[in-house]
Amino acid sequence: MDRKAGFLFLSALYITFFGLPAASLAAENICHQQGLEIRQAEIRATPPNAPVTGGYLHIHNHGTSMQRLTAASADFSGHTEIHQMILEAGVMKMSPLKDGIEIAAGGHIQLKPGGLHIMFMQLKQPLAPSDMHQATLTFDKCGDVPVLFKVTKTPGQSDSAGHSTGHTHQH
Amino acid sequence: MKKIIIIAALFIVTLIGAYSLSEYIARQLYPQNTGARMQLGSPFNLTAHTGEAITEQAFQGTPSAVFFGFTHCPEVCPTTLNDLTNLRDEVTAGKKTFNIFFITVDPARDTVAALRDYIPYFGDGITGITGEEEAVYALARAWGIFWEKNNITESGYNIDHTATVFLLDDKGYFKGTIDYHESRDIALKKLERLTAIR
Repeated sequence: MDRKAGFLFLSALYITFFGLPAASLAAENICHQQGLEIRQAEIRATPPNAPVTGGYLHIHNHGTSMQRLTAASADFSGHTEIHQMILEAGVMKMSPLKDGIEIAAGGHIQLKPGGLHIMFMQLKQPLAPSDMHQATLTFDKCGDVPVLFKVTKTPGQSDSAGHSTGHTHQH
Repeated sequence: MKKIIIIAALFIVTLIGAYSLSEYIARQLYPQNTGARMQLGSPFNLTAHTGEAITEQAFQGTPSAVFFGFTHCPEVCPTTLNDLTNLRDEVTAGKKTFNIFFITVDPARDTVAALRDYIPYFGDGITGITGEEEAVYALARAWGIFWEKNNITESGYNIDHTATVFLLDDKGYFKGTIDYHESRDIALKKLERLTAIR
């Protein structure tokens, strides 16, 4: 193996192991500068024959201007929407939020079971517990932010044990 | 004095007679709703997720938790089924148990084939119920269930529906409900009381 080939090989190795995480970190850092922090991103594992599921997470806006989550997408989903659910007279009503979700300056919102969630439809594969899947959240000011979601059978459960646990957003 | 006693006795006998007669008439008119006992729903002939025929007799012998939902339901249905099986495991520690029934409000998509794999994912002791569209809808109506298709796109539709869990005793009589937002502690107490009834 000559030196050039060796260099290329090492470069390829370097990019494989460090390049990709660095790329997603970079995208997140852009938003981090604007004070956006995303935590505990979880997707509900899919039961057999259920081609839809919900995504949940915490979004903190430490910045000084309002941020709006406008859209979401993922490779494993043919169609993704931002939804809200309201329990009205015992009836669970779900509807898409066309204007997305506002996160006020200095504010925090939680997408959680029974309320706001990202609705992944037309799933191309079953999502199994403990799998990690990347989705893209689009914010009006930050643009596209890649977020790594952990698949769990009962999302939102780690939250009840306190905010110190279940920090699932890792790179 | 004697007269007063006779009048009082006659009065009491008349009262008891009137009460008995009204109870008798009530039982004749509403045989299912005697006293504090109320039966929800109606008799039915449908199909379980196993492919076997199922009727209202399934609610006899063991207390039941009955929930209406559909497999394409992203949230309230899997959450409720998970919660119920977890609660049942806790209640069953005291040896008494209850059955869980999942009746579809989406018979078009929730065929026996679709429910066959879906139901066991959440654990044992859950029975999925589906069948002919009209028969399923008739049962949902008899239970006072609300359901409505919405968010209809080329990728399908969602169904808004009553998310209440109905509790039945081992004779199939209505004993209470669990609301979707009810705390786990309250739900557990209700299920413990339900399984303690004999």
